[in-house]
Amino acid sequence: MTARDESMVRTTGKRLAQGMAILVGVMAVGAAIAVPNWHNFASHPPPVSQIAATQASQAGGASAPAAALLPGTTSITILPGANVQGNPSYSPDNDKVPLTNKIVWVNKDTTPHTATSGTGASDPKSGKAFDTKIIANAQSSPVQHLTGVKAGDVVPYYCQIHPYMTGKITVTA
Amino acid sequence: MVLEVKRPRPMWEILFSTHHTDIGLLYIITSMTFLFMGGVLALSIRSELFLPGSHFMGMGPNDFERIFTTHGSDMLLLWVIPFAAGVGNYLIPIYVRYKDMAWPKLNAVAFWMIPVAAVLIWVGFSDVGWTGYPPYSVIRSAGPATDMWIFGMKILGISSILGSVNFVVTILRCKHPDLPIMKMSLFAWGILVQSFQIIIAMPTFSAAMIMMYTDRLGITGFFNPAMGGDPIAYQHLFWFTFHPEVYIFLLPAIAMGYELFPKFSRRPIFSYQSGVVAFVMLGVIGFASWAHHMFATGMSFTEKTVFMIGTLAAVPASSMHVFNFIATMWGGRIKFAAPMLFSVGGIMLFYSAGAGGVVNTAIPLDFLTHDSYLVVGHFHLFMMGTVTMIFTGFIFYLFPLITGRMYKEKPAQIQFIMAMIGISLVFGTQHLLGLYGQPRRTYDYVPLPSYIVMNQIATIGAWMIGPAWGLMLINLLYSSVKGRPVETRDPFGIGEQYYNYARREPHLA
Repeated sequence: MTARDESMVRTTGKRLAQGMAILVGVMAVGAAIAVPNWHNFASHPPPVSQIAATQASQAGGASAPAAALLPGTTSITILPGANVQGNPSYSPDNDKVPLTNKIVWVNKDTTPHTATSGTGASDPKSGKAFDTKIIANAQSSPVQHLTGVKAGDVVPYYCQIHPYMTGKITVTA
Repeated sequence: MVLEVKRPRPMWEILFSTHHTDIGLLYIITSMTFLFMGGVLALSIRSELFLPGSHFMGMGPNDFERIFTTHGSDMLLLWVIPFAAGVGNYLIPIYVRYKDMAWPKLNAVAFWMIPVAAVLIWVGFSDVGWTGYPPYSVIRSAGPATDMWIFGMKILGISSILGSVNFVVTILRCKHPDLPIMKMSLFAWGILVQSFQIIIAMPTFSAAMIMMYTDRLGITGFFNPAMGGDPIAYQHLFWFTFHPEVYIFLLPAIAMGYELFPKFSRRPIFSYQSGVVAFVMLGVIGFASWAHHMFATGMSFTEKTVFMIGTLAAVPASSMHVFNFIATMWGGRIKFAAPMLFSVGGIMLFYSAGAGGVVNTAIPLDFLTHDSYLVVGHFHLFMMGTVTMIFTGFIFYLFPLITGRMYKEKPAQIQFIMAMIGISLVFGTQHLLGLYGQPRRTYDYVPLPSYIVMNQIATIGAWMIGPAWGLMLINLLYSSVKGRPVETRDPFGIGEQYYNYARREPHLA
């Protein structure tokens, strides 16, 4: 062993403890900030979405935040997790809707969806009875009127973005 | 090899040092910390997927997205790149026979940007996915987490560029005049090519981050379709950086292989020149394949074909490296200490990962497997199976040289066996899950028996990998205090010095 090798053992228990204390201390401070504020750190939509919502509402707009329903309006919920194939999507998925009623879909999932009449994109009647267009998450669709249907009809509908999401409406008198 | 110029010093002296070995040590310890932190997130992801539905800590879809985003950002940009930079800092000045990095203070600045960026990424826990694709990242992803993620990524990009400029200048301008570039260590060649790649690739991503942030503020609409922007443009900018980044991750691992294979095979490298050529080829070809990540975005057949060929063009260069390693081992008196075990295991898994990549770049198959678990399995086989395995081998290789003590060999061997089995179970099974159609980035899946069984196999594999690296942590912590002191000229008892380190340390003589 040469003279230069004599200084090779450079680690000591004290030194290791100091290093670990620094690392663990920093992580503890980080966790103390991050964990209690888990939801706060992801709670503010980007400013551009506020601008888009304002412009949409000024234009008589598409999707709007979920609001109290007016009489004569049926509400159907798009369930959380509906974007995953196999999960329940619309609730109730076979609602009875009076012919004169209006319908609003409330998207409680985390991704955008539509409620479009028909059995799928290849259905020639797709979107004829109603079509909400895209409903952003945590938003409600514009009020939909049933078009070209009569009492007793069963109207299937689906999501254009996730075609495996299906539901139906039974029209009553 | 002497890796620290003085005897043990106070901790604060190392923390605020600008010496390359101190900065290297800080890089290595920081990156290993993020390896373990990211690993905890990986275990929570796999534990959630053990069964369909939400089971783990009440995890919902958004929680899951936030966890896998932070896991991906952490592992790629806080573990792989900083570790490579740390080892480069340690060894490059020694290998080019210079007293320090070219700009020591800039070196320290580049390192100290990493903890700042890490705090932004880890405290925020954004949900954009590590790719941050618009339009979600622009119009929907909630702040301040995503704003913190953008700034964190931006700072990491600047840090990488500063570090790379320092490496390039140190290697090309500060190299000892008696050391011809074609006699320089292949490790230095790997770091040189990687640094050039970072300097060319990273500014594009940094620009994209600024564009994304101004888009989120509503000032611009580069990627916002509602304002006439194009989300696909972001994907081009992103992958122009991050496909070369795959090689930026890989090249340091290959470079470390060029240190380990000759030394532990007790033979000179089979072909130095082909190693240099393969590094340069990968450095150039890495920029010819970015759009193969985007075949499903509606590109023309001509574009797809060009990028498919560009991707396949990386195969010969990668094969040259693998051939070089095998030919070096051939006929050698191989010592299967932990560094060599992990390197050989890493190259075996590199072959598997590369084979999957070649198949996946075929346009028709790419459409079938796009955004499925096959993609997850493929790139994890690279990042975990190849890069992290070889990096782990290099940690064991450097350990006695850094601490002057030897790690425990038996736990390292047990770790290796657990790692090989665990990695094969997780990422091999994920390839199958992808072929069965399971989409990536979902916290839940259709409760089909085949999905459940394969997800459970993958999760069991992850539960093997976690303890394996936990064993390494205990091994290193214990050995750094209680390990057997070793003679640092030949701590592994190889008996021959392929590299004459004394000749390469004139500043310490």
